Amino acid sequence: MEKNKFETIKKIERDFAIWIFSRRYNFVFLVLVVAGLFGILLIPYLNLLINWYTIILISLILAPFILNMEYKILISVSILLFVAVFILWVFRQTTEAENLTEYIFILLLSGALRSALS
Amino acid sequence: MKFLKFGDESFLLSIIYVVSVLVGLYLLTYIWLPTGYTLAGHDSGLPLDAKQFLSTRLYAWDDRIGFGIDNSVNFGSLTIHFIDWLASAVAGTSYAGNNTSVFFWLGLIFVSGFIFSYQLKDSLGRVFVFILPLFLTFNFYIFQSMFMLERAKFGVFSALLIVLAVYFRLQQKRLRVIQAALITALVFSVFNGGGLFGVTLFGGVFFIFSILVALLLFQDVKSQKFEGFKKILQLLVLSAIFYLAFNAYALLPYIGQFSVNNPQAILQDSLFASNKEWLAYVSRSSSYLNLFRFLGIPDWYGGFGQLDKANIEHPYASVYLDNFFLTAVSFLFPILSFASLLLAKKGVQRRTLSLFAVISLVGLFFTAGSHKPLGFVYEFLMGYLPGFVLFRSAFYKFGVFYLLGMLVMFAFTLSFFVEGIVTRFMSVKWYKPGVAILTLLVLGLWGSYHWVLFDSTKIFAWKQNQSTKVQIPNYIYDFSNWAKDNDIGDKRVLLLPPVNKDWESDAYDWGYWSLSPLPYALSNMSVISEWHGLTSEERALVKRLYSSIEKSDETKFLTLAQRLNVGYFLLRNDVLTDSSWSSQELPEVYQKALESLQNIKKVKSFGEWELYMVTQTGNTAVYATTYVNFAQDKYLTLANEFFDSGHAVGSSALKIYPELGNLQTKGMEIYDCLSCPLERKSDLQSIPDINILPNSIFYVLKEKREQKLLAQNKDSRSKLADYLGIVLRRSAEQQSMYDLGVNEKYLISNASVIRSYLNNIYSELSSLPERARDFEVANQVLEYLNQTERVFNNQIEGSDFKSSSQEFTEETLGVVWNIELIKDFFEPLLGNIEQWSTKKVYKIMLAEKREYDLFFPVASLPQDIAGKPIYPQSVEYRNGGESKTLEVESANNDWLRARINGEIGKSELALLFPDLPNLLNIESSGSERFSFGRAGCFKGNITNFEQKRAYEVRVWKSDRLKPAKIIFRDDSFIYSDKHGFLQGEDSFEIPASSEGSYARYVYFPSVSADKISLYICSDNADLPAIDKIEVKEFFSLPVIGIRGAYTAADKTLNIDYKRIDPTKYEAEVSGVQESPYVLIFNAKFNPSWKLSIERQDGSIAPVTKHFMIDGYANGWLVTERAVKKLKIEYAPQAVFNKASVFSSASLLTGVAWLIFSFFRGSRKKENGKE
Repeated sequence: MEKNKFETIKKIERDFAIWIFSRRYNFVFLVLVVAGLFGILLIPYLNLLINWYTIILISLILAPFILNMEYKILISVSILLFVAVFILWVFRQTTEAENLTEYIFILLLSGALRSALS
Repeated sequence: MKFLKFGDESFLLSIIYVVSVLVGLYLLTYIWLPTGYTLAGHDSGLPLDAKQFLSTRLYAWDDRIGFGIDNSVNFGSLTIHFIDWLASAVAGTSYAGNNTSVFFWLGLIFVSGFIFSYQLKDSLGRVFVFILPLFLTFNFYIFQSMFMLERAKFGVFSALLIVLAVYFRLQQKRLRVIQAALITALVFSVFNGGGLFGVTLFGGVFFIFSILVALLLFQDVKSQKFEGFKKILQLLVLSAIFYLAFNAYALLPYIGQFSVNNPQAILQDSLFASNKEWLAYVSRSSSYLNLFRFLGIPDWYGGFGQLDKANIEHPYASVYLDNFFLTAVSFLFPILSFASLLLAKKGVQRRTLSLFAVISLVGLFFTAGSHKPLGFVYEFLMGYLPGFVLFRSAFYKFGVFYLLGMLVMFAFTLSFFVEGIVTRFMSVKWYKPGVAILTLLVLGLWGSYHWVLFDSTKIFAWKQNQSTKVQIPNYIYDFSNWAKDNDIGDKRVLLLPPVNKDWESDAYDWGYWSLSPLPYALSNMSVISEWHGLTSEERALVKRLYSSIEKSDETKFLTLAQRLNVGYFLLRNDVLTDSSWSSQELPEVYQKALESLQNIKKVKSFGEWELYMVTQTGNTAVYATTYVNFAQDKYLTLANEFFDSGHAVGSSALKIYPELGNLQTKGMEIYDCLSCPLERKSDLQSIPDINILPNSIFYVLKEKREQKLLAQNKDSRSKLADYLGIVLRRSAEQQSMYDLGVNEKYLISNASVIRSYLNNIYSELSSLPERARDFEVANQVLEYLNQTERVFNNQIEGSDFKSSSQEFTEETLGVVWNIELIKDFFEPLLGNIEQWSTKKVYKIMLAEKREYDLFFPVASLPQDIAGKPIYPQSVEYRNGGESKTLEVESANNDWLRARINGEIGKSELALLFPDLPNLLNIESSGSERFSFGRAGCFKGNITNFEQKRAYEVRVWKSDRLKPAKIIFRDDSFIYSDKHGFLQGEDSFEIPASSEGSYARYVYFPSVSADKISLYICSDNADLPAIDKIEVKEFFSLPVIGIRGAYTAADKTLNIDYKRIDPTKYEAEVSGVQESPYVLIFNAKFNPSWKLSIERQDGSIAPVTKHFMIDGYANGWLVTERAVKKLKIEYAPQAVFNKASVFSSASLLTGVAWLIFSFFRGSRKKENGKE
């Protein structure tokens, strides 16, 4: 039983490592793209049109394309986060719930675009 | 189009479903609006006489309200009003807001939703087809505007659903592109958003098709096949071409009018600024969390800072927002909607759902408007994308389109569960009943959640106690029928009492409330009141007419009634007079006044309505005059009040048509007080906004432009203005650089340039020493340089100035020194500035050597302690070296008059007043509470305080150590319900002054100021250390100059006119035609009104000298001597007549071709050729 558990974990770790390794250049490319986006923050006038939220938005929209990710991951995470939003709302943490929803929007848009364009 | 296959079992089921829902819907709408009830008022535009209203839509000019209004923009609304009329005919009522109308529009959404979902049945399942249409029909986003039956929005939304169905059918190759384009154009031509005013409703259509195009392009680029992209492009282009052809009747007439309506206005920054606030208000509740839960409707929530509470005025918002269970349920909507993407099994399902997921998320961004986190992008689009400012009501324009995307996903998930549950838990035999029961259960749950939407007391209410569902009293139809049967000529009907003055709403005790007067929706009479569609000039005239009736001033009343072509008065005793926010004045007041007037008689009573008429009538619609008064364009309102006879023409018209000067004329000039601006605070309250600073790489472009401007060869005055403007702009740059801590070298360099420009200004001034006494130049220079001085003085007073470099200190002080030198130049004017509080100087330009009357308004004179006007001690007139004292007499109660005779050229007038009294009355002293603690204060008030006057406060304070300030507080106003600290509407920090001198501040009360008290406070428990304080009235008296007189009688012609229709008048001319005359047409001025004449010899010629009369009406200068007939036409009508023939022909051809192509297609199919 114990042995099986470790083997399962090991398998997941290995799959994850393979997933990352097979996309190592994609990761580098993504990092470069994100760095480029951060670079815009330093360019006068252009930085008036971009902020942290839009950088995250653009990065997360590009990420599933660059990393060749499955859209279902993003949608599933979004739905789980909606449950978290509900819990926050139940405990009257409305501001936190609203902030979290703004990031769910990014995940959903990223997932929906990935799905629509694949 | 064969969307459905006969013989298919699902077809039969679908028919039963659609018919059942429609029958149910009809019953529901009948329960909502039983016989005798109608929806009317508010913004609905639902006519009370649909047939009559439809007929008015056929004309490019609507003369039934105010002084008339261009209607060419509304030709597109013919389709909506045709449906209104059809619904009223079917229901057997004259009003359009009956249950048939409500049934039609809700039924339309439902049927369109069904057609749309039916096209997706193969990909999204059969249960989906039965769920989605009802979801699309019954939801809060559609019903938020049900009280006004927003037909334009419902129509565009329905059209989009049909067009999307057409698009999917095209993709499935079951339609040809040309067929799809024809259907698209046809559908959008019928449901066109109510004409060009409804163009913003197409925002949602535009973004949805943009998404479709973008996704198809991306997919086609990937697959290297451009079939899908080409197809959609062909569809869009062909649809646009067909649309233009079908709608030529609505588009072409407005093209000419478009330029008249100042289209540049939508590009102006000020428009964005004024709409930004509204956008913020509409978007305050549109958080992503609210929108995802199908909430966020602006009307449901409180104002800013109260978004956690439901709007107590809303009829049902609190039912949801204050209910834990219902709000908790709303979290299921986004979860179940987006779960559809995980549940999709087939590729086509995923692609379809992904498309609607993208539509919903992009729609969410648009619907949220300026709400964070992407609100700044929306604001950016509003600020910089031409025309986007029209989407200022983001939620109302995009909400339903966002919801479409969400509901497609949501309905799919539910249909997936229904089919899944039945497949898993029921036998094959029970499959169909099981699906039916579960589908009904789903629909039942949706209906239960939206239960308030079935309650007519809630859905038609737009406030807790106000609804558009009304029972119309019969007597208003008696009035309307009487107006139809009795020709009242073209006389206007004045509404009594006037509409509500604050809201400009027309409200009745039987429940009707609208922003346009009720008779506008009821009859073809031309009604007038203080309606919001009037210009300021028109409003001033109408106001004066009301005032003359109230005061029973017979002479004034008759003059104004004739001038405004008012022949009737409709006294409505049923208007709302309950002192609520929208109530009107008491009808009894006006009834009494009407009965006291000699030239008024009662025509007839219609229940609560009574019609009176003016007995002295004549032709005051189309007539001629040779009397003309001139005034500057901006003072036409005043001129209308001032001249006892003749009509006022603006100076711009005189400039274009100098021949007007040959008529008998009187002229009016307004002379502004030149010395007054020297006393008051600068009009320039802030320095300009700066984007590019001297440390930017782009600054070189700015410098080049600056050098180019200064190198131009201009006169000395223009050059001076250029330098002042540049100095001000550079001062703003200096301030920004200082605040941002930019490298000092840029500050030094900029200050050095400013200093050099100040030297140049001084040189320009010194070149003409007489400018030292020129008030206008002094005002201009001070206006700009005071701001510059403030910027540099702030730097000098800053704590780090002492530690700055020597060079920076020198340059900064140098700038201030140069400004002081320039001020010293104006020593003759600024040396003894106190003198201007009692000496008012005016520059007067006398164009001709004739008699001039100068008028001074008594109301603008300062007042003494008893509240009586203080008259000038003397009025001195100086022309060249000569000076004389003018005699002043009282013209009437309102004006003083002085006369100048035989003078010409530029001269100066000085009004000398005695020393004004101190109006401050110190009442008490004590301690007041501030956030920093208690402070000792004197409290005083201003004797005979009036909001429209200004007051100068003079304070002598030699103590430099103890700060003190003055707070102007309105004691009748509650500044905060959260704290009681002393606050006011204005305040002034009193600076210390040297012995003998004083600090001064001019206080301009706000428009709402009522009981103003002055609190003179220190910053500790001691009373403030001031030596003396005075408050005197600060006044600036306008002087009106009238020149000329009418020396001969008005040579009026006999003009016998006939109104053919609202856009066409024909007249026959008789009488003496010796001199040129002005033909007046008493309708709102519009360049599209054209006059043509027929001479005695039968030849026809246009009259092009067209200008505005009295600030609102049309006037033409006619110089022809032998005119037989006249014709006045509104030009867009002819365009409409021709374009509607073209549109009809295009439409018939399109429909015929469509029918033919379907027949041919089905025959081919039958013959098995396909």
